[in-house]
Amino acid sequence: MGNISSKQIRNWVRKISESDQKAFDRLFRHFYAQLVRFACKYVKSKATASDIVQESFVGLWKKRQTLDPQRSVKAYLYQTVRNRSLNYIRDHSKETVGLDPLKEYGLEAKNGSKQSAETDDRSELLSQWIKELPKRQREAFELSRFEGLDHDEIAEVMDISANTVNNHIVAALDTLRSRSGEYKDQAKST
Amino acid sequence: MKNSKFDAEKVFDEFPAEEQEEVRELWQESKSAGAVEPEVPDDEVEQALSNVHEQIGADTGMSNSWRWLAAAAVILLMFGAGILFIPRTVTAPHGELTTATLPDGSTVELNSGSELQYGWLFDITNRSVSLDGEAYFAVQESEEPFVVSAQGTKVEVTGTEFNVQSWSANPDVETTVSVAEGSVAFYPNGKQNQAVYLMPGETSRWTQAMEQPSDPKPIALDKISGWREGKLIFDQQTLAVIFQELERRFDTRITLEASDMAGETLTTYYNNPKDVASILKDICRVKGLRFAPTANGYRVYK
Repeated sequence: MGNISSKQIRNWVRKISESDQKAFDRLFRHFYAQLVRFACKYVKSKATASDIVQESFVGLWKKRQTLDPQRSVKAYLYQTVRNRSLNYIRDHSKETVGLDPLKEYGLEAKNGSKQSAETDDRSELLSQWIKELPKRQREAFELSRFEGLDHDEIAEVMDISANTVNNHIVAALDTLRSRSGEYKDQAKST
Repeated sequence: MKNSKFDAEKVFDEFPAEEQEEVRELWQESKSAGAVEPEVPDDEVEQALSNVHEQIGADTGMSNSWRWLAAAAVILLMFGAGILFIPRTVTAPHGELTTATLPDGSTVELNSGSELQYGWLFDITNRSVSLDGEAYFAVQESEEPFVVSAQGTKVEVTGTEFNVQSWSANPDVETTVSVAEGSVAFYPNGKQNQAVYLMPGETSRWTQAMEQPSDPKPIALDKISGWREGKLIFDQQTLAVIFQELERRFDTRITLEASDMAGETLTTYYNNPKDVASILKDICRVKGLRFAPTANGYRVYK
């Protein structure tokens, strides 16, 4: 079924906590692809991202008896994948220590920000601008818009308050708005 | 979980009125600016899942393997008895309503002349039933989807109450699904991607000529399942369909001799119909027809 309700997911979690592997499989199938894409933003390698997501699910199964069905399992999964990804970067890429992994991935994925104005495709421009946001703003914004998490879930994943999440997202949106404005002015003057 | 719409409004509130429209637009647009790469095809997901199974192997709950062991045992027994492929059948004879409880605890009420079949492995490896006629299902909640097959369509649920009407005798090969509680997915066989999702108080119909089931339409709950209390409810139904229903409900034969009238539609409602003759009398008066008893029922003529 296409539309999986949050009630359905809570139901799965309840079953998983009772060691129901079928429910675990359903949860896995539902979240696996999007979590791999999410991890890829940090670790830049699909193979590594897949490993991290699989380890996270193994961890979830091991903890199944202590899962709280009232808490968002989605937030739990994103949080685990994010932490494992950040640890991986810390442990494996001495060269990039101190660099902003998110930003670097963004720069790699697209051929630099300078050319961004050459494309006319608005959604491509938009995704470029999002990649150029400050790291925390970008994370909060992407978790909200791309991953569909609510503010409380994002707060849990990023280990900050829901208010800070709101501030990050407002700041991100404000930056996008002014970049979009600049772009429109530029387009007019040419 | 909180409503994310509410979260979005909290974001928009931070902007001055003149920027609101622009900000909302960017918000909408940015949803589709997300990465669609790398692609993760289904076979990779399954491979990854089996990796995970290996890693948690020793720790795995037994419930699943037990089910298969039980299934294997049942298969062996059935082969011995030679009845594996004979489905179990519940029928409601003409003139009667039948209620049955399925092995998983779900209950089914069958309208007169309806037939429900399910396999011997029901509730062991699947929860699939097939229906010819009309039935009201109250499905026991479970992870295993409950699937009703009816004339080339499927209705899939996990736990809910709904009505399926799908008479093979109806020349249009029409199936109508109405939901009282929970939600269901309704789709033509093999076209799960065209499923229509129905919420409580919604109905959708599909006929062979349609690409996908009709968009959900509101329906009064008493209309969905009035037949369960013996009511007769016809909403823009053709005389052919109405007479078929009367035949089943009153266990009689009605021959429409004025065959050019078969497609005439009628909307009518009987709270407590006692005898078929008085209903025929009403219909005939409205449609300018006459009727007379025969050896085993009635004939309707001009």
